[in-house]
Amino acid sequence: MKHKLLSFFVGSMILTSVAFAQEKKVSGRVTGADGKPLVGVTITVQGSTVATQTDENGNYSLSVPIGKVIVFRSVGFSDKTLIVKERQSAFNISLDSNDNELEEVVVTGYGVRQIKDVIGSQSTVKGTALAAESNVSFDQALSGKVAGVQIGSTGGTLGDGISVRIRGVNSISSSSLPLYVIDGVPMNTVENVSELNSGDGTRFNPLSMINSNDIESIEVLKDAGASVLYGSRAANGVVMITTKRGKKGFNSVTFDSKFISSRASNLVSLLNGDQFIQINNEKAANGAPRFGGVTNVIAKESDLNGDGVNDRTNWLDEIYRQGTGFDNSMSVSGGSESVNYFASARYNDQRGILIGNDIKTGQARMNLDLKANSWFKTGVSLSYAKTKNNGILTDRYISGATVAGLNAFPIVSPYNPKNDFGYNLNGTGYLGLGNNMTVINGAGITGNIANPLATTNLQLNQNTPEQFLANIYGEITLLEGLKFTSKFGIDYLRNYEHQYSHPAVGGLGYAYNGLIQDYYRDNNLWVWQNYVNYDKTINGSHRISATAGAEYNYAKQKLTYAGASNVSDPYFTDILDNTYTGTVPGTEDVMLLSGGGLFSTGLESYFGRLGYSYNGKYLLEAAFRADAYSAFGVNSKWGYFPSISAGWVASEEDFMKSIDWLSYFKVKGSFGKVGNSRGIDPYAARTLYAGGAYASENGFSAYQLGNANLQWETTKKFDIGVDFKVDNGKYGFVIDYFNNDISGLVLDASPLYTVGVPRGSIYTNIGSMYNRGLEFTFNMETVKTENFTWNTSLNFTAIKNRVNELITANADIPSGNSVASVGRRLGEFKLLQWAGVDEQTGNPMWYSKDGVRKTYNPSVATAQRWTLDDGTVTTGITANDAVYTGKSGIPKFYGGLDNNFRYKNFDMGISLVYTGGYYIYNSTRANLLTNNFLNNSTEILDRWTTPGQKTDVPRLFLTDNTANQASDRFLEKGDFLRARTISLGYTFGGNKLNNAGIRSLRLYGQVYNAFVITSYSGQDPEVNSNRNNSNIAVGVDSRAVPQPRTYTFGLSLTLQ
Amino acid sequence: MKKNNIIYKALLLGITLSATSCGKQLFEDPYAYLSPEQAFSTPDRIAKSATGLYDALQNREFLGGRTLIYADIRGADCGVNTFFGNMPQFSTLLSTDITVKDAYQGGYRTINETNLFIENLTAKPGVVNAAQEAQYFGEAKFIRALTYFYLVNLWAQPYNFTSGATHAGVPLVLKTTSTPFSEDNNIPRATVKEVYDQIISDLLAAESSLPASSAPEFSTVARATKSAAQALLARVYLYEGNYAKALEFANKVINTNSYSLNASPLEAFRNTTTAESIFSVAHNGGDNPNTNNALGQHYSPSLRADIQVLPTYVSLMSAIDKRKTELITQKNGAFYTLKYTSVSDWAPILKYNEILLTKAEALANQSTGVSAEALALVNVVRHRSAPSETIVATSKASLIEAILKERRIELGFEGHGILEYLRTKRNIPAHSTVSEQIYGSDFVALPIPFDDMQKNPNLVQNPGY
Repeated sequence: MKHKLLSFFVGSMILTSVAFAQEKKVSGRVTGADGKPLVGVTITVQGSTVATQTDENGNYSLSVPIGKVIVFRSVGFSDKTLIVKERQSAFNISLDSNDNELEEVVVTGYGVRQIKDVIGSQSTVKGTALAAESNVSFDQALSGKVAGVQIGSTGGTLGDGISVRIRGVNSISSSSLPLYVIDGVPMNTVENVSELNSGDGTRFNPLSMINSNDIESIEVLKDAGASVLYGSRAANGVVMITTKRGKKGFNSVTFDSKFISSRASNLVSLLNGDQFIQINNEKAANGAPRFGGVTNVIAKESDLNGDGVNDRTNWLDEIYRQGTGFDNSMSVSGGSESVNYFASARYNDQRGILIGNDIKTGQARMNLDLKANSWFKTGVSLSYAKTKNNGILTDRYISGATVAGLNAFPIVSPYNPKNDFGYNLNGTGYLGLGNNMTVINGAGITGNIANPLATTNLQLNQNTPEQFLANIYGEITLLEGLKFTSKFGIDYLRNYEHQYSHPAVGGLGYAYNGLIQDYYRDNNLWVWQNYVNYDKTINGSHRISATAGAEYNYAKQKLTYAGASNVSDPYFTDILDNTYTGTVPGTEDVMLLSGGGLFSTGLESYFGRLGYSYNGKYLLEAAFRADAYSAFGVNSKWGYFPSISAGWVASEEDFMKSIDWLSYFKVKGSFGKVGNSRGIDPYAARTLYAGGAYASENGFSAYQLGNANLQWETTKKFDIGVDFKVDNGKYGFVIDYFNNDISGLVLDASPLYTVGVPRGSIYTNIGSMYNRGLEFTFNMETVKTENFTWNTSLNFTAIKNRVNELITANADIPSGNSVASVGRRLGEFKLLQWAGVDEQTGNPMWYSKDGVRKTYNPSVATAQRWTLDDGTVTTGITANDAVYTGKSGIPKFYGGLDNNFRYKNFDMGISLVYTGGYYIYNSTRANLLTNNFLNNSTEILDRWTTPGQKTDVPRLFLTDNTANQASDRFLEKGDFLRARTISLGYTFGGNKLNNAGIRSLRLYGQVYNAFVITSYSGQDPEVNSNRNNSNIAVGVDSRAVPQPRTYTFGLSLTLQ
Repeated sequence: MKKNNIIYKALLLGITLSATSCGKQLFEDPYAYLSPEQAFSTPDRIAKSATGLYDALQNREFLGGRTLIYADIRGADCGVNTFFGNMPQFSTLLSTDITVKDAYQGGYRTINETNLFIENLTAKPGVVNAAQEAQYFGEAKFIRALTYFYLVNLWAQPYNFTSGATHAGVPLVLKTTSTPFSEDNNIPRATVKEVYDQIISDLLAAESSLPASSAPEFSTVARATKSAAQALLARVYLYEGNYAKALEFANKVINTNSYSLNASPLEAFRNTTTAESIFSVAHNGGDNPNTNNALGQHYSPSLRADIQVLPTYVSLMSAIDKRKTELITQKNGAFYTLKYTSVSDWAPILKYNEILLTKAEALANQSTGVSAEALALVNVVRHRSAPSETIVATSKASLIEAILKERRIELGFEGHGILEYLRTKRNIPAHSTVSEQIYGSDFVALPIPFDDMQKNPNLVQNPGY
């Protein structure tokens, strides 16, 4: 973000007025010489502690004793003073820039830059925009705020990862997540701390351990010009987080408190008990030919809870609940000439919308800077956070809440008082199905259904992560304009993962008579940076700036696993001495429930940058980074990443100054090469043997086939853009065209299965792809009067993606129903073509690859099931009939629209986000039309029953799910517009509060996800059941948890 | 004063810069892995790499147990279940099926490990003594042969489908590659005969170099022995219809006098190393195919109970038959086998009862009339479980039928299912919701996975897929 150097604490809207006896309220606006409002100007009353700051529009107001002198001060400008006289109450002040002092700067890689020198494509989000949100993780709040940045939610489970895509999906096999840098130190790349269930059961994203209240600003570096100093890790963009620091002469204590209430915004509609009985018995009646010609009544009433009436259960009501949360934080901030400090603490306690899902986080931070003398400055940033996350299995497991809850029979109760633990469980720990038939002629007609209440209430899936982030720096001013900085940072992340499986619950607990599994994770990362920055203006018009330095980055991960089986009593849910035998129940065989993993990576880097500016009009910059990374091949360890950028501030030219309506006009461009090494195994290039035990004999077996030439993915990034302001800054535009040409894609590519390589795949640099697009940002001061302001901000991004080359030209890389295919958009769906339901027979139909319609009749012998329109028997529809749909799960365009209003002390904000040009494979819908004996969605009520009936749901037929096989029948347009946040606030000020020592008090309310406009039939179009870091199978809805609708009520109190 | 200042600064800068030569500490060798050179550097490490061959054999998608399951759920005696998707089905099974893909990939992963071992050991001559070396090569070849046996019998029509077995088998991969994506790897399907010939050649080599079995213990059941190679050869020749050779190798196993039937059919499943077990893939509490792939998880009614036993199978046995009383149980109205009860169950591959029945079948087929010796052998097996029941046969055909029925009962759920029907040119009877599958019809062979079909232009898909 834009701010003044040494002026880190941006006055938020909570800091408004100060008043005391015999005083006069004065207000006004502070602008620079160019008429633009100045944000964060400190206004102090001489000889007192009274102070305030200008807001985002340069406005201020404070109460001043008559006759006192007030001082306007801002770094980079000369001080201005004025004396308050009796009849005056409005002072509009213009500050003159002071060339000898520092100018407006912005955080970039390895230092800060004068904002007018920045040519790279870099966007800012203010911390205040993030902190008001109820989301657990700050990255979610970036949604719709920045052109080129797409934030995708993976569902409504607390602590789950967020998909962040900067200018498209820039990898196929590797990670597409950006590099995160906090206070100048690159963070570890752990995206999910969970290990059990392959990290796919319950998930926790460590980024949610950053206190969003601590964030001063976030910089998003998008093009090569902005990001090249991060070299081999910059291809997916860089997100730089700057935390708050104290500010000279401005001491404050702030309390923030929020109450949060949430509900699932939209749920699938399932059959009720009566409908369930009707539909399932119809499945069985129609399916009789396959079951010995006998019409079985499979769905029958039961009274398992013993209340004397037939059981009826709405399972969605059982698994979803009202979420609630409390989020309290406090911060202190201040400083003097030589020292400044910022410290904060926060406790956030949230209960999610799914039963058993909650999160509690405590965070603390201390940032300190000390100016020892004229040439040495030092400081530390320390933060610690600890979270306890009770997770819940959702979509991929039999015991997952959205698997079990959606499958469970509405005609059985969750409870059965006859059982030990009061839950309705059968002999193997799954949901008891009472009088219902489950097997006919040796064929299972249902499946194991977990009792989601027993699963959740009796078992544990916990993560207890801790993160310690710290850095210390020293800065030496060697000569005027020449500074040397040494910075050492650590990112220590550990997690204790604890899973308890109860012996009464089907699955692990039942199989092992109670199973406890723990994972301990230690991620230790240190970074040491040494660099010099030089900034010098020669003869008033030639400005030279330069950076050169080295960085060493070492990361080590250690995992330790321990478990206990055959536990003496369900009272014991931890690994405790003598409370378990460790055996396979019923045998003398001892389970080996311990293990672990250990690896380290190293990154050695050298970088440099040279910039030149002539009269602030012509800008030129070249930058370079060299990286050596331990994961890459001996033949290609070093990578070199250069960039060049140029800019022209045309509005500084004399001939442009006559154009009154155009107050600012800049053209800029950059070209460079950056890399992506994220998500690649630490020893990806090597051929390796690993331990390979055979029962109790130790052995070695092949682990990986190496590739000595393995290197990072290389992205050539080209960016050209204009940045202009119209009507004295009232309208601001930023337009960028970008082209990311990605080559040497690191594909974790599968050779032929017959090659039989260990792991099934090999890291290989083959493949190329591009993302081309347009970014558009528009900011407008829509209305600006004394009492009412209205600001509008719109951004839009359009992206075109093409895969140009893959490992084998004629073989796609499939992932679920999506493919990476040469000449096509990444993530294109390849599916069978649905031809509807035959009106006369109710049988499903598809088109073959050649467009021939084929009908499937489940009632006849196998060989006769497929027929052509004329009734002749034909070959079946097979995988070969799948066709490219031309539709992908990756959006073509997205963006956001923010409107912020202020009327006197009221403020209101409406933030909309939209995403379009993509499709969702609605696997939930396909699943809920199952012909197995399971619950269905109400869509199945439209099933074919009588000849001549027009419907898209075929005739039911017990256990035959051919009709529901993957086809474009379930592919739906995902485009949506979401009212992401709507907020309303009121700020109190004035004498009474001031006399009580309160500077300001703001009360506010916010609705998150008030409504979604979409044609998508599922719960929520912003979904990805394949988690936050899938690149191909994007846009899949498979029993996802919907996003919540959240109401937040909060107050912010600042003491003086 | 000013001069001092600069000196201090220079000093500070110097200290910092001199400490920056830490680049070397950044790069470490893997803690968790060995290089191939390390893995074959000493006799002890080579011995461990040889053990690793069995680790590869334990592949959870293949001979860790799943392959046995696939043969059985495509046979006639298992209920159609939902766990394995379309694997128990025929016409609705697609080439994109993930279960099929995983199994195929798993099989070739095991093959790759054996080829890799043979090459790595060949490259280190003389590190271990000649006898040891021969044994290791023998073990690798036994494992390769065993894996190809299941690959060719599940993914191709049976040996006797064409005369001379000239129809398509599976790709025969006998070496590793350092260029996994090159076109050299686009190996076409060998004929079934070529695959069988390779299996036999590997097994004969293994037979000559593997140690003879003595008392049953881990090393003689869980690792390949001379008898294991002979027992598998007996089965392979039986599948070829080469009864003389089947008899010869069955006799070789019998004549070791190392093997015998246990008193109860249950025993071999509860005690992993009895005199009845010739070769099994071992597992234990620390090393097993886990909750989603273990035989016990799939079959045991007290674990996940995915696979039910059909009443038609149970009705093959009388009420006193121990194979019914000891090995079949009923739960919630369905039958289950008790052969597997835990995640650490071993996967049984070759047992003495099979050898007796193989010998009986070979004799019965060679004889012009009713072979008394064959009848006696099949009754040995029957009497172990039902002492009071004696099989009688009035013709050669009825004797063979009785032997096949006894194999079906005796070897049920041990990975013989569909293979028994196909090798004897019988149709797979209609069962559960699956209609009858005619011998030689398209879908009795599994599809070559779609991915390989796309990548390798030299492959020909099985008809129908």
